[in-house]
Amino acid sequence: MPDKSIEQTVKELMVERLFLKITPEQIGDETEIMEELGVDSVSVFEIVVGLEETFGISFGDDEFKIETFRTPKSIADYVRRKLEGKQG
Amino acid sequence: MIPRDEPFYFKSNSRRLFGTWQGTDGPARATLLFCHPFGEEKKSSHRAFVETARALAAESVASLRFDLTGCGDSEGEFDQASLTFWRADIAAAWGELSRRAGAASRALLGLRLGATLAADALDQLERVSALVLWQPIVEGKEELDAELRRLLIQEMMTHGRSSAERSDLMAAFERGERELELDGYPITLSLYRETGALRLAERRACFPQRTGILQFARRNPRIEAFAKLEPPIEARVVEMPPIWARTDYITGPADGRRLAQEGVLPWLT
Amino acid sequence: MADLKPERPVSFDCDRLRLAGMLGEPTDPARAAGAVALIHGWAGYRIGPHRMFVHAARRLNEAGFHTLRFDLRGRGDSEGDGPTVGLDEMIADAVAAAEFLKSTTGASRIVLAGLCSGANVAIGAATLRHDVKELALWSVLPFQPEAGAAQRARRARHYLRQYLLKALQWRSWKRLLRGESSLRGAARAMAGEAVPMREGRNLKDSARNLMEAFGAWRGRALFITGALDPEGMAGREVFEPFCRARKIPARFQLVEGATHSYYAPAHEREVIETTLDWLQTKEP
Repeated sequence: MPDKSIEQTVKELMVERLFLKITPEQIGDETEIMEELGVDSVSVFEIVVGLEETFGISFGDDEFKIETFRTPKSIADYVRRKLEGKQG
Repeated sequence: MIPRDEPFYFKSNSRRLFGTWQGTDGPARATLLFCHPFGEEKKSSHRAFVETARALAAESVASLRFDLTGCGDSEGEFDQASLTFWRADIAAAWGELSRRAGAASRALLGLRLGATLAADALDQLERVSALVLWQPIVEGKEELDAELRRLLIQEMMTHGRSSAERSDLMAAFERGERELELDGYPITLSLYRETGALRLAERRACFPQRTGILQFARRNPRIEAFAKLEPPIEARVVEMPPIWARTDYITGPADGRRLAQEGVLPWLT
Repeated sequence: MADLKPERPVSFDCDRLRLAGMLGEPTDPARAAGAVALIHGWAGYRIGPHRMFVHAARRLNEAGFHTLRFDLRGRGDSEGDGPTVGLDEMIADAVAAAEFLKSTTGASRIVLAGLCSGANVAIGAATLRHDVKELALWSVLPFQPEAGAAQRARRARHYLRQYLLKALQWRSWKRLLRGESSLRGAARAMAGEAVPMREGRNLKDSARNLMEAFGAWRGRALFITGALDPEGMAGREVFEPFCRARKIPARFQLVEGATHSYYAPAHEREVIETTLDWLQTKEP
């Protein structure tokens, strides 16, 4: 899967799961999702479940760090690391 | 013109429970008991039940919604609650529904844990013509695990990172070294264990022939797998956000009509 | 302690809509101290988060107060079309609730207590009822005209405390500080209106200038805020200097470690006991 599509997939997942009234294209890679989209803990949980289902990865409890969920790019970077860890 | 709903208290053993009866204009052709979900999910979904009840009343279906012990406007505190109490509460509410139903059929609906509890109480209820399960919790333990995760995420949002892993959190909880509260609702160890032991599949033999499942927004793999067990249960999806989880979604009459049409009536008629 | 009398379900009308509520009586009628109406937040209903309003009402009843927990129109068990209800309608409901409390209990001392936007509703209602001279405001938000800049800045500072500073790119800082977090206005709300609108009007805004009206109000107010609540702290940052400038007697109380809805039982208790203590004293 090309790298770019992970960011796009994350944005699409967010729009779908959080019922955002914007398109994925309106979300930048560096959009601060908590400040700018009002994402709360319920929403982050939805994102986590969505990422796990979509990418087949699993968040460890010690991996819930706020930096991970800051932007679509930071989320995508985390997913990439997890996928590389699975393949390695 | 549907009549205004009637609030009242009724007894479950010695406890006073709060209920609201929604009647119909003319005789009801069916009646329905609503069983609400756990903790703060009840607050989020309350209006959805109200709007659905009003929409159903327009279709000549009367209903009773009520608050379990320690919840809503009922007596007791949440940390006094137990599944034993809650099963008895559902039975008592069913008695109230039956008293008012007359010749009309009686159906049972639950949302999330309310669905699982409704199924769990079936063997105590008479003449259940239909069972409607909205986003039921299939395995209690899995759901509690998910709630613990959400708690850790909440801590992360507040403090930057979560304080512990689930296993450490649970170990401390079981040793009595820390309390567990979910969205401000204190969870006792006994309630945690009882809820964790719930398995929807164990009640399947009691399900009436007319049983249906409603999922919100998308198909849930766990629920879908449960629905496909023999004999299969019809599982629909309504294009609506999870009404129990929204902190800012305002449910209106149109939602109630939709939930009535897609989430109740198909199994009542 | 005398046994608590159960609250009784009541209803009253506003704009030809029936509003539902629960009326609580003082445990000891001889100690009657006044009446408190509890106003819930935007998407809530009369029980409040984690039944906070149920607990508050019971505690107030023990202390001699009548209480009314009620559902704003379009919420809880009240009539009304929820998605179309705005701040001004909620204010009208709160005014009606105060009137209902007064006429039902005979109390001359009417207090409005509100949580989150319910606190804003309480302020709006108090400016329309000269007999409401006390406001208990829990996690009050800035009113909409003041909200944008204050909340954006506060929210950014809250999360920046959690991030490693170096993780936040300078361009993001600049964007946030300039108030260019424009997506929030378009995308806020997980499902439903981005900013709840009706016929071009922001439902969370008022047709009146409520800050000006509040500035002319003559009463005393208690502001309680959770220290870890960016939205509530934004409210405090607006109201504290405002009350000082307009000489409104006000106490500002911070609940350490508390979030917006005071989830921890200890925090909920602190809010309720602080409010009760304030009601039982004459000082701001």
